[in-house]
Amino acid sequence: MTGIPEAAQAVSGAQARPWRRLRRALAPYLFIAPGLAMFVAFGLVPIGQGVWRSFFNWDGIDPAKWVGLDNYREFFSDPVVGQSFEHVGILVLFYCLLPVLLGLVIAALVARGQVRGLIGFRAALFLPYVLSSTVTAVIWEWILSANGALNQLLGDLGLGSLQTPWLGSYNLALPAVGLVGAWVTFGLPMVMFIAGVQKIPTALYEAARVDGAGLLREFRFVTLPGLRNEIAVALTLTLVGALRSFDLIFLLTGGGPGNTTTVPAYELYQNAFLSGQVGYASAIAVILALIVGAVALVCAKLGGAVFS
Amino acid sequence: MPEIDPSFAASKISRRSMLKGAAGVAGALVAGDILAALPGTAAAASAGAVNTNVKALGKVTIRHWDYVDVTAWKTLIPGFEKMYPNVTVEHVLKSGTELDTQAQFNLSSSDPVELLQNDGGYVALPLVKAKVWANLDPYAAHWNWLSWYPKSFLRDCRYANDGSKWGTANGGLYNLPFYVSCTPTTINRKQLAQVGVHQLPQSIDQLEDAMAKLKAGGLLPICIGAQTGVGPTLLAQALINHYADPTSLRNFFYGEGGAFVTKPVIQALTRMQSWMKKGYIANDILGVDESDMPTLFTQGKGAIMCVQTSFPTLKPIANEITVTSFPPLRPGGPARLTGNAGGPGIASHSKAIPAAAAWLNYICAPAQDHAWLDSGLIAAAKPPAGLHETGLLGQALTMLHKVRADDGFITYLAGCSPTAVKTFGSALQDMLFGRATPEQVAQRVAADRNAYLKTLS
Repeated sequence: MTGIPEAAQAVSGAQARPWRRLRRALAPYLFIAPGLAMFVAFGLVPIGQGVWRSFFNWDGIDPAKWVGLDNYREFFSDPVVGQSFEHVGILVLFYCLLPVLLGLVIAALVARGQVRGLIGFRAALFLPYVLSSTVTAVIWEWILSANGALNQLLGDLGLGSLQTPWLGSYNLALPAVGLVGAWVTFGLPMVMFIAGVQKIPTALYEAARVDGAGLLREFRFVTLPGLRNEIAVALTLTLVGALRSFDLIFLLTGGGPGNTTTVPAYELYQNAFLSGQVGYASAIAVILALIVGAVALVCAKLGGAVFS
Repeated sequence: MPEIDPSFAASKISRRSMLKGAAGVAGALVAGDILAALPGTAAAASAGAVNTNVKALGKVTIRHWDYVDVTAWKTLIPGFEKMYPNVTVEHVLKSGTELDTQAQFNLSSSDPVELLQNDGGYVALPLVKAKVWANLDPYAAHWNWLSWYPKSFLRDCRYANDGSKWGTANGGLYNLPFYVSCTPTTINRKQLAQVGVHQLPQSIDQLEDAMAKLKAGGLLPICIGAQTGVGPTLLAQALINHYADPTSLRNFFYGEGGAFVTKPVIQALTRMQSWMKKGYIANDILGVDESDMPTLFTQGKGAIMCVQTSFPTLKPIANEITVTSFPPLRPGGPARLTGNAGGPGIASHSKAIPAAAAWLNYICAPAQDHAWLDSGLIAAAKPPAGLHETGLLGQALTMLHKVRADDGFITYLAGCSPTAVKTFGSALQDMLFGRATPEQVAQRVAADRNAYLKTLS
């Protein structure tokens, strides 16, 4: 006996139920609200502002002037920006394909059996990925400059004819930066693939061997399908990394010699922070973002997995 | 009198003045919104009224933010404080990037520093636009500052009072230089003598003859680094200064008409290109950092060098070299020199403007030239009669005397827009390595300049 009439209790329960339901319905939104607020404030709003500004001629200080699609028209007629996209296409080979291929080779070798010192090996190869890009650039500038370690080594080996200013050569500067990028990026796919390989049931490898599969067939029919999702993720991350590459270019070559190593993100920076053409820089950013988004989607589709 | 003070980090200053810090511009952009909201201050438009009564300020401290790290301050500050016992000068050294990034925030604050060193040009334009820099015309008139400098030299310090442009011939004066940042030509006489050239070249043709002899004698004629592209811009401009009409060049630079895609400019660039083809310029220059040029020059890697003043580095071979202006087209032709006139400006809403102006007047005055020269800097103000220097500084003063007489200062073309160094430098790299024609170089520079002018309009 609670002292409250039963009818009154029933009424009170009926009144409380909608409130409970509402609370239950709201709870998930309340949980995600702080994160969502941050994402909106620091993600969506700046993206929206960027898109909006791409329709203006704005120097970053004075009132902006509406120019419609002029910035986009300029984008498609700007030869330097066009070149920068060609360069990024070449960098994709170094930042993305080379590290993924090397990572797969190492994963295939690991899949064949126990590798002694795997942890140390993995840590050493992953180290460049976690180094600051400034540190990386300084190290490689010491190595690749005209009086750098590489040229000194070539001289000591009697290969003086091969000495060249690697970062100051029209033909070699871009591949040189690309190789530095590959050195940095390589650790990520490798770690992902080694982890992925270890998840593949050993029974599959044993069965393949019983069927007489060699290293290549084992890789083709067991390792590769088993790493499908990891490959998709690695391709996406490295491809996006290549498309938005900026730091190594900025620090190692400044886009030179001439414009031979300039990339879209570097052109974006030049226009936004040096030329005072914030609207045009925003247009470059919008197009770059669309390309990155499209590439990520294609990679995800090809990998057969939308990351969930 | 010591000839050169080794503490003078000339290379730092010269690189700074050419390669404007990107961070500074970024800061300026961020600051823009805040500054745009500030109401205009009275001081910026106070031309005509001048208050020079420093004593009336009572006990006051003036803060001077600066990047010029020389010993001259040690004598100048006590000298000024003795003249004005109620004033204390607090000279604060900061990096150029720090100055650029902090300038707008500080000058628009309620307690700004009184003076701030600035290279002028597009870096300072937002300060004038935001009216946080004081117009110095009343003080210039009061103390007769204009008589200290050649007219062409001071144009770098002039701005449209609404901050829409700089270099405006009749614009307001917003900063005042105490030293000259310039690009003389340094010639290794010893190497020239080795190949039978015993007299300094008096014309570009004679210079080219000397280069041919150097090359034939197994010596590298031109010392140049082109890793960032700055080095080629300095040599190219030395040539362009003589080929093109200086007024047209200045007008192009300041966006007041003028042209760059002209026959004389293209002729000058073609000549430079021919020097590369003839092997007077080494083919590994893209791997050589511009800041290493003076060191390489002292090592004998090149007999002719166009680089910004770097006397401390050149000291070991001071007796074997001559610092002069680039030879003219014909012997006896006018002297031309690429030079820039950055200097301190005054915060428009400082509470101690009269003291700051008096300090500016004190440090920039011809009477202080010896102090700057003692520190290894080339003083900007016309030297007083009787000032005598020997060695490299003496040669520099002789050169400047001729340049002043010919009104031959031409500001750095590579500073005509925030991206001009990169544009001009990379275009010249392309030209030297056969990937662009001289016409295309001129067109790229003009396009960059026009694009920047569009952002100002």
